[in-house]
Parts: sequence; structure tokens; C-alpha cells
Amino acid sequence: MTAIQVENLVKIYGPLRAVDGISFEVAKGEVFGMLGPNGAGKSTTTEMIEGLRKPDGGNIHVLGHDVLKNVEPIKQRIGIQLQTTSLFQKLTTRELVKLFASFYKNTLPVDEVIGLVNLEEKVNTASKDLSGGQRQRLAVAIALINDPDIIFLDEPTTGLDPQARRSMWDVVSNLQKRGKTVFLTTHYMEEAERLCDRVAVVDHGKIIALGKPQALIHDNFDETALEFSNDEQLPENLLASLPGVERVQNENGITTIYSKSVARTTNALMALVEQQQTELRGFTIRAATLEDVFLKLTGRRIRD
Amino acid sequence: MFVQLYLSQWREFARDRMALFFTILFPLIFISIFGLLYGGGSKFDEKVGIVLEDQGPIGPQLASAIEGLTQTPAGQDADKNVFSDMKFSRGNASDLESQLQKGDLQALVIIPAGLSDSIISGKPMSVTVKVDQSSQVFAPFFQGVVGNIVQSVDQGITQSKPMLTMQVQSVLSSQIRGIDLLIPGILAMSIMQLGLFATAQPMIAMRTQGVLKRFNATPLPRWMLLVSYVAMRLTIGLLQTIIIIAVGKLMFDVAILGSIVALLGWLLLSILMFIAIGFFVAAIAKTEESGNAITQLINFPMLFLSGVFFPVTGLPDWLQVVVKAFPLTYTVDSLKQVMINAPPINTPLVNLVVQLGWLVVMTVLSIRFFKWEAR
Ligand SMILES: Nc1ncnc2c1ncn2[C@@H]1O[C@H](COP(=O)(O)OP(=O)(O)O)[C@@H](O)[C@H]1O
Ligand SMILES: [Mg+2]
Repeated sequence: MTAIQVENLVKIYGPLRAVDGISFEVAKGEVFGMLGPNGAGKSTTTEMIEGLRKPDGGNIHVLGHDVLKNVEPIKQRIGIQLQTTSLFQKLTTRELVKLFASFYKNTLPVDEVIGLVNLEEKVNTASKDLSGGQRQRLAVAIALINDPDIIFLDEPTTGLDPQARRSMWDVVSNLQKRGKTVFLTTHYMEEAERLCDRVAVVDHGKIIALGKPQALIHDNFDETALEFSNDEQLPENLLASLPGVERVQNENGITTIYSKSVARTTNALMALVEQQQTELRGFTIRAATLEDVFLKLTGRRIRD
Repeated sequence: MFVQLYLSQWREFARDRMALFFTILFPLIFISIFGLLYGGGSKFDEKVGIVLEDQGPIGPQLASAIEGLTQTPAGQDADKNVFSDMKFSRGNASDLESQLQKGDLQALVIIPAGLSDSIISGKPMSVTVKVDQSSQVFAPFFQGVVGNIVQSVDQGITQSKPMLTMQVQSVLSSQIRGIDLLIPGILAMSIMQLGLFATAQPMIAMRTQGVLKRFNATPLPRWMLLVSYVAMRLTIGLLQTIIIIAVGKLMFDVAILGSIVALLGWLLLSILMFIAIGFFVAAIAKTEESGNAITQLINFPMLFLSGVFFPVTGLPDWLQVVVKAFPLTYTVDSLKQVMINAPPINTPLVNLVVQLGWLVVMTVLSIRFFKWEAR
């Protein structure tokens, strides 16, 4: 059974096609991610699915309902965390959750929801006094109050420190364990790889890759990445001619060599470095990631 | 959900010290300062001079009738007679005129020589009442009662056409105005600022910060959000005005000469009108900054020109035309009429129709232009 079905979605802002013909389906119980840089059209797509913005073209079905015809029946069954949520500043966590609870027919107990996002210690803190991560978790708590079938999380961890981010990941993992459908957007490839069953990689309003994170990586790469910062500017053609090397990418002073034979490439690289009498800083050998996929498909990194 | 929304807004408001200060405390401090400066009870203790030049029978009859105002008819409570503390003095015209100019007298009644003779021979004649307009509460009051006395004396003279008439002349002394005059202005000011600062600005903030958008993502009907918002402001408005009136009454015994029900009615009307105006500002202002600019642009001219601090009648003619366009003018006028029987600028019907008109037009335009999202 599909939770979300989107066909050929289009949104135009003046000269800009912010969302340019996007189609995908999300199955029930799936954690689906949209991964892409700022301005790729993630929020616009998400909010059109939520019924908050009107598309200029395409079809959207959520839980079998046509969103463009009538969003009201869906509103009871979805939970929404907007990219930026601002609430009454002087109300406490509990008061805010209670307020939103009053809007829905079926709700979870207020304290249970606060527990789900680990905000028990902040129930009586005014929302303006919460940290960024806590406020974000409060936004998720409010998204969960009606025990929704689908939860939309728009960049839930952007701007959070690593610990707060990990804490949010736990929340999402728990939702998945409870069998919820989660639709999330992010520009952190690590987050997408970690949390999502499937990922749509988006750029300039279009999906440029769609699938399981590992499959996306394997489809694009059977290479391993060797990465270092290269102050001495080892010439790209020299690097490309090293044994085993498939491709070389230079971006923001970071050189990435994709190699099919790690041992041979590494040895040759070290020899080259010694011969040029230079140093490699921050040298790492790693498996390819979604970041590499994005880099390969667009020539840019997700975060600039 | 209505109750929760309403309560939430109350909490948000009550926990905002600045908002509390400006809506409740500020007007009270204002009244207290003016009250202490201008003090005074609600009884008239004004001094009135009478110049009796008429030698015939009608003049003395008039003079003693006017002086009789201080006497309370048998069987009535002297405390209820607002004129019982007034002082009358007789003298010659030039002495009393100069006292009036200095502000030692607040009114002067001149009964001219030859009045009786003239009337008896069938020629109409009039008495002159000069009132100090700076005692705005007293002046119209006194004019009114002298007018009544003149009329009843005239009816005692059996002539088919009115023979004895009254002429009113206004003078302005250097006297300060009473707190009674100020209270309707303070009420009107608070109501306007409720509409501008407590209605428009938070609404614009809720839109630009995305609070409205978040509510729209829930099943909460939009109308309910708006109704609770208005209900909450209406409550603040009524509470605020009632506190101002109560404190004014308890501390300074300010005048409320008209009926309380009528007063509440006028308050309600103007509160709703200014909430609607606030919504209109919120509808047309895109950012909080432009909202601030617009509210100040509305606030200042109205505050200083609509009769809150000094009467509209003192303004130059061209400005009076401008001031006629301000809704606050009608609020101040209607409240002054009902609270202190001030000389009307407009009839109550005009005040009612104009304010209802603003309410309806602003509501319609707000609904037409209201935006739920910043962009
Ligand atoms: N209301 C709007 N009016 C005009 N342009 C918009 C509006 N909303 C978004 N955009 C533009 O559309 C593009 C996609 O925005 P968005 O969906 O927010 O991207 P993302 O969430 O992926 O960062 C951006 O270039 C953004 O500036
Ligand atoms: Mg976004």
C-alpha cells in the first residue's frame, strides 16, 4: 500500500521552476528521504504534499486521498514539522503540545509524546528558552501528537550540533520501529544513508537519482575513494594516470581519487608524493557515499 | 480547541511584561499623574458671577432662580445635587468680566438694563451667559440649566412668541482642564493602541514567523483561529477600559454622567472597530518593520489631533476637516458625550454610523487582503 504518490509535480516561482516534474512513491512504513542542496526544491515539494502550497502541475495522493481536491481528511492523519517552526514564545513545552492536541480528534497522551522526543526535563520550559535541538524536538513532538500515519520532517537536524543530531536520529529510528511512514528532507548525506530506506537525490527541482542508499552508491561506484587536501596542487593528469584510478575530482581544495584498486593506487600515490617532495594532509581511504554520488552526477558537493 | 487557543493567547499575553505594562499599567500611570495634577471631585464647585442691571420684575426673578440651583429641593439628597457646591456672586459688569478672564469665575450671567421694560412693551430681549470653555465639563452643563431656567421664566410671561432668550458667549481663561475631560481620551487612546499594538503587530509577527502557517497545517479551522484572536483582544480591551474607569472612579471620582450601559456599548463598538483596523494593518503590512511604520503613522496623528488631549474645536478649520476622517475622533466624541456630557461634535447617530462603517469596511478589506504566509 502506498502512503504517498506523487506524479510529475511542478511548482513555478516567476522565472524559476522550483520543482520541475518530480515523481515518486512512498510505501507505508518506509522512511523516505529527499537529499539535496539548499534551494533544490525539497521544502517546496514537501509542503505541496502536505497541502500547504498549491502545485502548478501534477498529482498528489496521500493515503489514497487526492490532496489537491481536499486536504482536510488528510490533516488528521499526518504530522508535520516545518523547516522552521515558530510557536507562541512564552508557552511551555507541555502547554504547546496540549494546545496542538486540542486540534485533533485522536491524540496520544501529551506526556507520552514528550517522552518520545526525550523532552521530559523541559516540560515546563518556555519555548523561547529551549535550545535549538530541543525546539526542533518539540516541533517533532507536536508533529506526533495526533499519532499520525505519516510524519513529515523538513530538515530536522539542520543547524544542530552532532549530539543533538544523533538524538534526533534516535527519534526517527524509533518512529520507524513503530511502523510509521516517515518523509524527511536533509542535506546531510550521512543522515540520509543512516535513516532512509530509500532516497531521492534532488537538484534544481529534479530527481537525479532514486533508490536505496547502498544501491545508489553501488550503481554509481564500484570504486573506493581516496581523499586528501592538496595544497601543492598535484597535477590532476598525473593523478589520473596512476594505476587503478577511474576518476579524479577537485573541489574546494579537496582532491578525491576514485580507485578500483586501492593497494596499487595508494602505493603509486605515495611514490608520487615522495617524488614531488610534498605532503598529503588529511589523507583518508573510504567507501563511496551519497555525497560522491551527488558529486559525480552534478559536479558539485551538496554542501558548499 | 477554542478554549485552548484562547487560553494560550492569554498566557502568551500575560507572560509578556511589556505588553502588560502598555495595556494595563501605562494608562493607569497616565491617569494617576493627571489625576494628581488636576484632581477634583465630580461635583461642580465653580464660581459664577451675576450682573443684574435690570430694574424691573423679571431680572431679579431670573437671578434668584439661577442662584437657587445650589438649593436642594426638600426630600432630596443634597449629595445628588451636583450644583450644591457652586458659589454665586453679584457685582458690576466690568469687575466680574475681568474675574472671568482671569479664571476666578467660570461663568457670568448678564441680565441687561431695561430687560423687563422691553419685554413688557412686547420687544424680545436676551440675557447673556458667558462661560469659560476651559472648564469643559461645567460649561455645557451650566449653559443647559440656565437655558432651562430662562425658558421657564419666559413661559411665565404670557406672550405668544418667546420674549426672553439666552445668548451664550464662550471665553477661554487660563484654567487647566479637569481629569474628567481626560478619562474619555485615555480610554479612546488605549482602545486605539489595543488595535494597533496588541492586534496588528502580534498578528504580523505570527505570520512572518510562520506561526500561522503551522496552525494551517493542522485541522484547526482558520475562522476559529481568527475568532479566538479577536475574542482575546476584545477581552483585553474591555478589561483595560473597565480598569481605567474603575481606577478613575475610585481614586479621582471621575464623572460618568451618562448611563453605564450606553458607555459599555460605545466602548464595545470602538474596541471592535480598532481591532478591525488592526487586522487591516496586519493584512496590508508585509513585514514587522512596515507594520511598525504603519501603526506609528496611524497612532501619532490620531493621538494628538482626535481630541484625546485637547478639543478638536480648537484646531484650525482645514485640520478639522482632516480630523473628521479619523475614526478616533468619533470614539473620543462619543465617549466624552456619554461620560461628561461634553458639547457634541457629532450627533450620537453620526458617531454610531461612522464607527460601524469603519468596522464593516475594515473587516471586509481585512478578509479580502489577509495573507496567511509571509511569501
Ligand atoms: N514562496 C516562494 N517564492 C519565490 N521563490 C520561492 C518560494 N519558495 C521557494 N522559492 C525558491 O524555490 C527554490 C526551492 O526552494 P526550497 O523548496 O525551499 O528548497 P530547499 O528546501 O530544497 O532548500 C529556491 O530557489 C527558493 O528560493
Ligand atoms: Mg528547505
